[in-house]
Amino acid sequence: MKKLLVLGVGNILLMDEGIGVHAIYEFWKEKQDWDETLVDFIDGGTFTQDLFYLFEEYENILVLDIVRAGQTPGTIFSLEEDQLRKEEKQMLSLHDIDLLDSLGMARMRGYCPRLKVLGIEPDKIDWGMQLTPTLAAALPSFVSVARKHIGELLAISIPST
Amino acid sequence: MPETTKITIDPVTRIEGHLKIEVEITDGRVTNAWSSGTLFRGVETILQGREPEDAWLFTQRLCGVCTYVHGVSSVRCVEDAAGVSIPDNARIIRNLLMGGLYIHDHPVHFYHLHALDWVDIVSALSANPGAAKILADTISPSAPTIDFEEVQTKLRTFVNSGQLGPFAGGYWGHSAYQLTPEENLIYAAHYLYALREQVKAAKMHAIFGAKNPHLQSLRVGGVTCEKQVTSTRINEFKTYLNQLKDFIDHVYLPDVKYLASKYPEWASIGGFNNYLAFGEFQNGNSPWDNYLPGGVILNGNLAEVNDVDLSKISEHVERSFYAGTSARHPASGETIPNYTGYDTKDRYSWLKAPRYNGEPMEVGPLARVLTAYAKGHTDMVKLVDELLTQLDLTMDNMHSTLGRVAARALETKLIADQMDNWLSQLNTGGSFIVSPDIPTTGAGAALNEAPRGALGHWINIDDRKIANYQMVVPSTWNLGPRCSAGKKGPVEEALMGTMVVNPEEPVEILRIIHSYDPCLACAVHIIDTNQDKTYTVQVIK
Repeated sequence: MKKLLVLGVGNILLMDEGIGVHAIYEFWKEKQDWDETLVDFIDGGTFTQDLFYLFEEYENILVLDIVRAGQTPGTIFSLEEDQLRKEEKQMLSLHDIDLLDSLGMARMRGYCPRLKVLGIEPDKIDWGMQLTPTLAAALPSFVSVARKHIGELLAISIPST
Repeated sequence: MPETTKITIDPVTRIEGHLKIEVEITDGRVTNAWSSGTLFRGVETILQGREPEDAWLFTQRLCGVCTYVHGVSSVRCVEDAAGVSIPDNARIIRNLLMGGLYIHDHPVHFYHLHALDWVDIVSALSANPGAAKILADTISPSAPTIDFEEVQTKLRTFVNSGQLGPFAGGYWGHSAYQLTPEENLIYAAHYLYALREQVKAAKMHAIFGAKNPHLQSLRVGGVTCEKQVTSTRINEFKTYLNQLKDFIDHVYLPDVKYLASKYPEWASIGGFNNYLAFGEFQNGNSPWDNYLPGGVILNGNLAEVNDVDLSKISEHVERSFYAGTSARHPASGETIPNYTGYDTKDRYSWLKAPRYNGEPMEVGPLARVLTAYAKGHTDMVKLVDELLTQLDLTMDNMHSTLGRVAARALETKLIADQMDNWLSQLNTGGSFIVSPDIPTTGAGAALNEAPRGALGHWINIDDRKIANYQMVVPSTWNLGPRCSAGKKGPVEEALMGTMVVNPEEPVEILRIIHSYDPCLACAVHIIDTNQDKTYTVQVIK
């Protein structure tokens, strides 16, 4: 079992909705910096509950996604699984229901990894391939915060970039 | 005056949009129905001006469930425009990928999206596990041995945790649930068992797809998984396939048949009688020569199946949130949003209303199964006849909610069995891709069968770039609104006359909607006009 799956989810056709996937593309560019026996970076795209099979292969999952919390666009949030369950579902992106269902299904099957969500408040969700300028500007810090979380989850130190 | 209650089932949007069903209930029966939703509007603007060969990379991101079908439809419509014949190997790989999707999606639909409309999970907690075991052996002697006591303990822990997850929001205890606690426990156990099988199907799909979701091995002109087509990988594929076939034969099919035997009245509820299938699993280069044939059936008349004539397809917008009132063929379709507010007397849906020769058509497993049956597809005829004999039903009963559920299971078996043949037809040394010659100006169409039903992509190419792109997706056929002539869409019509015991818990309506396998996760808002109360109920997809 690997230590960590970093899963970017979202729809890259819907502007800011796709930022989780855009972040994964950034991590793919620095693939050589990561120990692939410890961590995988996966583009989950517009996944549904059927991604739960991946969950069985990791100790931890770090989901990168948008979070709608009525904050300033670009605000970055870190949420643990129990917070996801307590909060209003609508606060999360379109994928949260599947995410929690997937975890529930994995748990019923007997194993469930630890889940963390790193989210970012979107500016606009509409048809379009580009992030809004606000989120495009926030992407480097989103990736950088993700990098820090990954380092913590892998219990290694990450050189600051 | 008879008392009329209005129920609105208004699901939360996920990736593919938002579905809302409103029904009027008079004297306990549905007397009017409206289906309203949003799908895919705006994607054209993303595709316009791009390279035709790249379109599939975008279209397969339209939906989280149907990724492959939108990918393959896109490459096929570009191939049609380019006049490309793909190599046999590519055609066979595509059949295997599509087949893998059917084997994956149909059991998932039955166990994880639809079964909870029939199976009361909470009731399973009070079952006698020993009695459940004896009953399970009767239903299917060859089914895998399951420790029902362990399953029950797991369920209890899960329910007691208060985090019901996928079981939240069920109408547990509703009188429409007719199974015994032991029967409920068996289906709950198979719900969990099917999750394991689902993993196998996803892994099988990734062998020639490279990645799941959003596979990578499609190209205009063929497929790029040539290096994966080795005896080792083929055997790996076969191992998964054989295990899945065991599951289909000894768990899925017996479960569907047993469920049908316990809900016989649903073989007469929720039916529709016009069917359209484009056909799928190409036998050769012609898109019209398919293992599952295409065809048109009107008024349930199986004695007459007409060939599909694409020129008879039009999309009406008179009751939809688009500019204009004229019905257009998808090849010259336009998508000009014009939101005027939800009004069931006027415009009420973001879906257009596709019609075939002016008629609303049901698409999906039942349309395919009936078309194949009516065309004398030997294996299909055998499967359907066996089923009807075992359940003591007639062909008329196929036009129903249960008919839809059964059709899904029957075609899953048929395709899984056929996949062995396709595997054996792969020629490991042969060609897998040809270079397409994309025309500077041209047009193409691709007609397919997604697991959920007939899917069409249309492309117009100008200056070697995408000038226009239109899709008519299965859920639009099934869930679309009324047309210019005022004819209801298939789901709207299928809901008519349905008895609803308790408007606060409209499980009967959900059974019909879910039997169409709409690709949506939903929440329900119920407005009871008499009591001015609003209930919000989370629906299990």
